[in-house]
Amino acid sequence: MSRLCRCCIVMLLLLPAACAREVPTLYEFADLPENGACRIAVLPFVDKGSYPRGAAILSKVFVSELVASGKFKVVLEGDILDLYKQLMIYPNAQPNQEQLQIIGGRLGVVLFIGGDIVKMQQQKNRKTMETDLTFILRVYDGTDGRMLWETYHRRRGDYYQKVLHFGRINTITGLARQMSREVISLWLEKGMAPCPR
Amino acid sequence: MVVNRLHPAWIAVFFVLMLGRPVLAAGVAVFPLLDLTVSSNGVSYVLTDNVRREIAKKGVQLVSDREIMQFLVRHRIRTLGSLTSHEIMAAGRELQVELVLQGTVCQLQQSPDPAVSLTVELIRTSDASVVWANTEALYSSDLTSLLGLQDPENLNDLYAVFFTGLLASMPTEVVSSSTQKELLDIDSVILMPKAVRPGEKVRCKVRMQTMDLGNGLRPGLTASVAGRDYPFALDSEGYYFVADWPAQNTAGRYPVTLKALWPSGRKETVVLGSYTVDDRAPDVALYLRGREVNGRIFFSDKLYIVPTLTDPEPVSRWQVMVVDRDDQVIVRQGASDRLPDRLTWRGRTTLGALAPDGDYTIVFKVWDRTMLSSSVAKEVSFRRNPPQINLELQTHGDRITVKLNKEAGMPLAYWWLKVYEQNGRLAKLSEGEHLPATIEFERPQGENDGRLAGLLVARDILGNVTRKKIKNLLGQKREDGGGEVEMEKEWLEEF
Repeated sequence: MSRLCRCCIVMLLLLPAACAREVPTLYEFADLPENGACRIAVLPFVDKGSYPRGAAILSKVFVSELVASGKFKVVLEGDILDLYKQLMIYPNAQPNQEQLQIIGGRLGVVLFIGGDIVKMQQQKNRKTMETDLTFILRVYDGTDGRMLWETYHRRRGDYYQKVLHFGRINTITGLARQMSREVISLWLEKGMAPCPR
Repeated sequence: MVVNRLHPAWIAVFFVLMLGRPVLAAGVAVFPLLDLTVSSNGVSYVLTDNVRREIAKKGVQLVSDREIMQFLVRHRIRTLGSLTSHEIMAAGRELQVELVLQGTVCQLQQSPDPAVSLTVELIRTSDASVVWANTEALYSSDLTSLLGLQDPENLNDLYAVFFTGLLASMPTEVVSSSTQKELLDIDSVILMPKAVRPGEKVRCKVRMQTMDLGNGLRPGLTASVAGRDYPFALDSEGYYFVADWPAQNTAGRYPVTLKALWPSGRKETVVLGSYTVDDRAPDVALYLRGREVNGRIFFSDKLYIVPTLTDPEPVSRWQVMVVDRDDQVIVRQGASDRLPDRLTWRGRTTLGALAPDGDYTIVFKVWDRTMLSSSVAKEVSFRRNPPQINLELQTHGDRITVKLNKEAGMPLAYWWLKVYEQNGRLAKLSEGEHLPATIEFERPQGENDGRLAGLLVARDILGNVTRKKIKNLLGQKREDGGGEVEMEKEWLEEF
């Protein structure tokens, strides 16, 4: 096979990859606080998907992965829900900037993480379980409630399939965990400063 | 002589420096798992028992489930999986444990294929910080081998490996928290009112989680607003710290900050909330959507009333009224709510009766959160009566002249007149947009017996329609009255 022919084949193989949208996608609207992002509060997510109690699942999995990363101190979900109750905010609603400011001051957090579930689906298809998750996570300043970063992520469970059925993610929780890890890795890579050791 | 031996105190210091803070062999309280597969407030005792058994294998001292249940009842904890810091610390004190484990069942299904997923977190009770967390998800096909031997068939087959994996990395010892912190631990804040006029009293009430902090441990508390400090004082019931102050004279939003000065000299500030000083009544504008003729709004069926605030602000109440020429209010409606996007008036009174044709005033009034009000009024004309058309007929031999005339009223959108012979043949069709009009035509020849029938339709620009069916056109001079004219109530092209 001639060299030119091989080059053409390689280019054709790379073309779809080049056109595909890279996820997770991070949009940076402002710089993160200079003093690091040690103490973080994960706000209840807004659920626009159809999976029962999907927001609660994703929020708990995301908190778990933040803690498991060993880089951040995460505020207890109970403390956040307690403040939501005090400020009369529905758990499925996003607080406004003033409410974020109050929550931030009361909990002493550097950053908030909030988000929307755009799609969350798990259904049996012939012999395999199809899982599909799309979410948008937003990072807010803990002192004034300004939005700093936004991350879009979308994956299906079969994306991780390697050989035969191996690697495939068959549960929505497993997919949420994997995608949370990818987002946290991206944030750390892009300069989200962890707690000092 | 210097003895080359270390004093025991120095040895202790050395170990503390080398090892950091003391490491505790932890006692763990495993709280019942929240089961999201049942409801947002479900509980799974089966999986909780599995978790307890797996942790017990690590040689950790566990609190009995009976004691935990008593704790949950004592503290009226109704939602699991999301304990607050205070509940965690209380668990540490009352159950004598260093760690609390709480978790959530995210997925649990037996069919079509068994699957289970759980998330757990381990929380240090001394400072309520999460020291470890893990999420594990297992689906039956995750354990399917290449040869399909001993593949899992039910949930118990998954449990055999699931809980080991879930808790494999769980620490059994924990570093104690560094300091017993001074906490400005707010339980609730009441800041009233949220909107206030200049000079009116603003009151802030703060309740701490522990009001009795012990002798000398209570911090000095002040509310800081717009650069001024107002001290908090304990109310007579000892329930709230209360501070009052007059609202500022300048309109705007004012954040309230709680400043605490601890006996140790440490200062702490917390944002409590904010209030708005409002010195201006809301400026409301009214748009009426009807048919505009010579600068006046007319309608016959529906009038759309659209109120808007020129400088938008939250409102507490609104009211709309329709007033007739005798200053009688025929419609009154309102709500303690935000402004409606649009209101529709169908020309009826509040009691449901149809209002007579005439001129009316629509008055819209709005109150803001400080009960400052403003109103706006607009004139509108209600015309529901159909156009009154006079038809005059003259004959000169075989020549017939029809004169159509309109009494005062709304301009016409269109009119048409059809004249039919006795056999149903169309003798004359005439149409137009303006009246008066004169129509001339020859009397049809043949077996008509001299009888002609007519159908007159006229519609004004508001949509009011007049339909006249005249059975014997020639048999009358003025056809408005007379027994041969019928007013049609519905559309009839063929007659």
